[in-house]
Amino acid sequence: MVNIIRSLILSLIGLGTLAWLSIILISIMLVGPDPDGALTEFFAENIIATTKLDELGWNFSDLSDGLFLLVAHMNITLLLFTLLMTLGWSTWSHYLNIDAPGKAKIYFIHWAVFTGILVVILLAIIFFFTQTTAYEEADFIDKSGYAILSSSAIFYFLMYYVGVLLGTARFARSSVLLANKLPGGF
Amino acid sequence: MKNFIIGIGGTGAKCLEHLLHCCSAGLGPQNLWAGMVDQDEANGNVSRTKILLSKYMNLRNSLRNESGHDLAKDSNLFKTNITANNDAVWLPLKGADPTLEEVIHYELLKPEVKGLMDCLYDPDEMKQNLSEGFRARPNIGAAAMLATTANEDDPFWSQIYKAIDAARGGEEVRVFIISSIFGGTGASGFPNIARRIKQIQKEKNVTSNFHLGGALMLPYFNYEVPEENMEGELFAKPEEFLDQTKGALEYYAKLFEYDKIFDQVYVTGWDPLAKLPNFKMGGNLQNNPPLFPELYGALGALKFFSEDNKINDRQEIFHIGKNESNDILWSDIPNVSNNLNSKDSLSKLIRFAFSYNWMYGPALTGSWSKIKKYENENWFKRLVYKNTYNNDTKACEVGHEHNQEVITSMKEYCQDVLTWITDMQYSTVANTDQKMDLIVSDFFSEVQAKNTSTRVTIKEKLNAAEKNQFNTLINDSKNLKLLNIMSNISYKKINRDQKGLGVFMDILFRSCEQ
Repeated sequence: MVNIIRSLILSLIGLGTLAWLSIILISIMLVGPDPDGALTEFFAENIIATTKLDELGWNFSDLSDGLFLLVAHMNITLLLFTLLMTLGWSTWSHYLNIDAPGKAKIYFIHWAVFTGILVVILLAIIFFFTQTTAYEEADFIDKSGYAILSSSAIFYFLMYYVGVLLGTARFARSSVLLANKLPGGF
Repeated sequence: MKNFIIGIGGTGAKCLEHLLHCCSAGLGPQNLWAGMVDQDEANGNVSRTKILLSKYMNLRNSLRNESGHDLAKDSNLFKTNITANNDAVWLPLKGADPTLEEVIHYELLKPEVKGLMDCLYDPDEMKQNLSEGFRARPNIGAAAMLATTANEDDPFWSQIYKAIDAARGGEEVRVFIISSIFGGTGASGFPNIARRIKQIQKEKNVTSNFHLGGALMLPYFNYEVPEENMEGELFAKPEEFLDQTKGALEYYAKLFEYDKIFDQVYVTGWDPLAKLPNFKMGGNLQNNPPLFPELYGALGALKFFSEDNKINDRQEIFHIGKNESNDILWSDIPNVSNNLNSKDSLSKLIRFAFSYNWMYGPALTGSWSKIKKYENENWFKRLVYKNTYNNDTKACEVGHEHNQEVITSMKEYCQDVLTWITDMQYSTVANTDQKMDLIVSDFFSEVQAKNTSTRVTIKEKLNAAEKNQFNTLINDSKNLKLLNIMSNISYKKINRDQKGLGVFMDILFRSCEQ
């Protein structure tokens, strides 16, 4: 149990190296759009389909609150899932049946499948927030906006990777890409 | 504190075998000198212990070397620094094929003394070749032993003299003697050697710091003697064991009543007797299996040597035997002291032997080109690579001859441990109503009861299903799996003083407990 707790702490440290960016972004978006803020400007210029707004005779301020909330909620969900999956792997890695020298490599397949599931979940979350009718503002996100928001999956994947890199059980490191390059005593 | 142990006869040697395994499990004192007494130099039991003693000392020296591999002071693996003479066995009668007649110079005796000898010994006994022991004739053994001089120049007796000198110098010295009460060498050697030691103590006027202990094994095994070709031969007859024991106990009762020879005596018996399948008169074919009561003898010695054992002025006699039930369990094994739990230490050693022999030893055996596939694994990187890395050659030298020697010796020793415990468990209860449930061994070993030289064969390789049975290896509630061992070796803290392969060996040993 001590080893698992140790893994979880290391995982959290790994996650923390990128998660702080996400948390700041979420906090800003939950506060609401600042009319003169750079983030508001970025959203107005890159995320929203302005032609659609013009057709309806709306301007960006009419949907900025909702859009900010959408992106904030999406990031909270992505962050929570990333956290859950990272800590899940770090815990599970201690129970992988690596009982003999050389056996850890076999479990690369497990890690690859687990990671694949995470990527699918991340993309599904992004799809849910941007392509479904759950949020009205999602209708106004254009292709480039969708591409930008989808790319956040890469950010959360990286966060997960750093988390599992540090948090995987020592004996299971050969199952995680490049994790066995870490120093033995780490 | 200086400790000395003397195993007399075949039983004494067999008790020493158990004691050596206990010492490698960490149950022994810090230092111990070990010697054996047997007229039957080629005896299979004695040879086996002699080889094991040599393996223990070599392996310990290799793994407790400050400039090479070092398990470090705190490690319990091979804790006891055991030393022995170049030849660990003392032969009371030197020379080729000695007979009692020659030893006492019968032809030169005065007629009246000759007459006395004729009364005490029949002609067969006088002419019996004693190169294969005293053949269960303590009267022959006693005369032969008393006829030999215990002088300071003899390598065996010089150790006793040194021990007594050390006691005179203020150091605490404990000497322990183990033998059977029946049979020839042990029964004759036990009281005579003890009395000789006491005599030297008196001659040197040592009244304190010197303690003498002993373990007497009452009959605990028998065997069937084949009827053919035995006419006219002198040999140990199991039907005489009880009568011999009765006589010997009466003798000791009187001895202990009038003279305080021993500070502590540990007496062990076993009922029903273990049934040995093979009878051999002596020599290298007399290779009897290790039996559970001998472990009691060994643990008695270790209790005597324990620093927690406060020896008082009274002569104490402890006795132990089989419990009421026919099931022999871990709970029947007594602890050496409050701090040394025999069961925990022995089960740790057995788990270590298993995991080293089949899991980690093979991974470390061979040249670097074979071993390097593990170089990125945490256990290897942390415990082996770093500690066998040569900064001058910029290479990991685990595959080099000097390291491979240690790795192979440890594998051999681990096989000895597994053979010992399997053989003991099987042979103690074979053909009796008893049941011994210390370990589950059938998945890694095969027993051929009739084969004296290799009664137990340890499988060279185990399949995955057999390896998975590791968690049932020890019959306790711990359920320690190989996965737990792998996890433990990846996380156990390395002691600062550990070096070389000592790091890996100690961590693996410590990882075998929960």
